[in-house]
Amino acid sequence: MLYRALYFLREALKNVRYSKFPTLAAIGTIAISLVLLWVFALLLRHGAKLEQHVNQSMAMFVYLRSATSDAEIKRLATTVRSWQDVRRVRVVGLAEARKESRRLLSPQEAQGLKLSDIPALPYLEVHLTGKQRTRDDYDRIRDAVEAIKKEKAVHSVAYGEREVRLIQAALDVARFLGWTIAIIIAIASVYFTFSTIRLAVYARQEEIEILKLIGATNLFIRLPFYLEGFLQGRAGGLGALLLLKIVENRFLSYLSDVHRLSEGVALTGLGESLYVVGGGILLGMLGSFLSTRRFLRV
Amino acid sequence: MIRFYDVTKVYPNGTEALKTVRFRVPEKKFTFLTGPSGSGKTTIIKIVLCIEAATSGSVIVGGRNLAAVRRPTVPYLRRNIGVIWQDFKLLDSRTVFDNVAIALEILGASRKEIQTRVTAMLERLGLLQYKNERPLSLSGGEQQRVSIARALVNRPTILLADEPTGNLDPERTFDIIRLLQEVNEQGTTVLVATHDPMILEAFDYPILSLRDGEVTTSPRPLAADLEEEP
Ligand SMILES: Nc1ncnc2c1ncn2[C@@H]1O[C@H](COP(=O)(O)OP(=O)(O)OP(=O)(O)O)[C@@H](O)[C@H]1O
Ligand SMILES: [Mg+2]
Repeated sequence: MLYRALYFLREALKNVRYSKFPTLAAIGTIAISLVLLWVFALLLRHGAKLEQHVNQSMAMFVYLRSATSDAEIKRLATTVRSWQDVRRVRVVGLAEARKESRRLLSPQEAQGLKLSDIPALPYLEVHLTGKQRTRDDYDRIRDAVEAIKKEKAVHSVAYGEREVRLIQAALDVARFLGWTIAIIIAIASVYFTFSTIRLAVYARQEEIEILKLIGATNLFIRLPFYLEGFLQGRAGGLGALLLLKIVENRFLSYLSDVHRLSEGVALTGLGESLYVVGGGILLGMLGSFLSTRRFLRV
Repeated sequence: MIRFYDVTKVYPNGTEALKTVRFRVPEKKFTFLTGPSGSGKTTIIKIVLCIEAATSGSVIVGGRNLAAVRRPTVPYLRRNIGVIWQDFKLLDSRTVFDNVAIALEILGASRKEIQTRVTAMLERLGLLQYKNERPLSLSGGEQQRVSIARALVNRPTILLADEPTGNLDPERTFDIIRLLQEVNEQGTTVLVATHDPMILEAFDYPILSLRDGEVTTSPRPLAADLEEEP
């Protein structure tokens, strides 16, 4: 058993000898595409967190006319609370709003002013839920806002919807570009393995012919090439791991030094390392599988 | 046993290599296949080995109708047939030992078995001192013997030889044929394609004679079963 395994390994390594530079290029692109995929995956994860955070901290202010009765304020608060996207509503009455306004004034400005002289409006501070919103959600919120604006007691509504949408759009674009680039590079890396193995197949054409004539099975003939793809993929995966370790060290110190952040870009776990190496093996095997299917007809 | 029943072979370019060929190579017997260049000898060997398919007619090898053989089983069929090729088909990227060993590697033989059987075969053919050489550094006759060693090492039931004495001097030619005789005496069906009249003269075996893709009346007719209906 071991002897057979060694036979196939030896044959696979012979293939590398026929094409040293292409092999190196294939391993390199596999490594780079894995690094990019990994970094994009991290950005996506942090992007999703950021999005949730922005959504959660998004507030809406419903300003009411100063003459609005307490009962009316209560009624409006109940209406707003019933909206599906609302997490919490804080009711700020006229007196409290005035106190808040006074806090904004400098001591000189506030001097001699009676509380009732300070201009202010009672308002509802509306906190929305943190879930990711779709276009329908936004439309629904906007309709609700339009409806409440028609209430006599409502003076105006302040709502930072546009900014949130901008952040979301930026994240969407980043996500789309990220995946597109990562997928293109992954395809390129599969193609590099594919053509490296094509070179090996051509270099060994005569040998493959003879093996067929003496009764070697398809699997026997193809196995060294599959193994070659496997080894290339594994080498690419290990290379990516090494690169990621370097990136991680540099990037983390950059984040903490320049941005005073300590976000986890963690790549420490064994499980995550296995993902990277496994991904490499997958790309390499895919390349060799497609190549033998195409060029090694037996 | 090999049986061709009304076999024709037309190559894709339109060459009619075999025209209604009917013959039988009896089991465990030694048979010569002769005919001028281009008469279809190599074509017959390729059909037996499933490298080429007959255009019509039926071919039976070791009891199996080749028309019914599915592609995945072709390798297993070939393992029972040793072939000595006109151009040897040796690999210069491997040593003499490895060239012979490959026939056992594909069967999944153990390292020990490969070691003993290849060594014994090389010894029998007087090639042991060359086991670590590359085939191209050997003489034509020696390369011929390496290809014979590879054909015999997994003890095939059928041995096909295509001009095995092609470019050998007379003495070596007789050595090779005597070796094939020995193999036949141990129970292997042997078919030797040759157009060397000296060999046909010297060895008294049935001759299957071809001309322009047709079996002709041979100078020494085969056993009556050649004409027997299937
Ligand atoms: N692959 C092929 N495609 C087209 N024609 C072929 C092919 N192989 C052989 N032929 C033709 O078929 C005929 C028989 O060829 P074959 O090789 O069987 O002859 P042969 O008896 O082995 O000749 P030789 O003694 O020269 O080896 C020849 O006319 C040859 O040109
Ligand atoms: Mg020929």
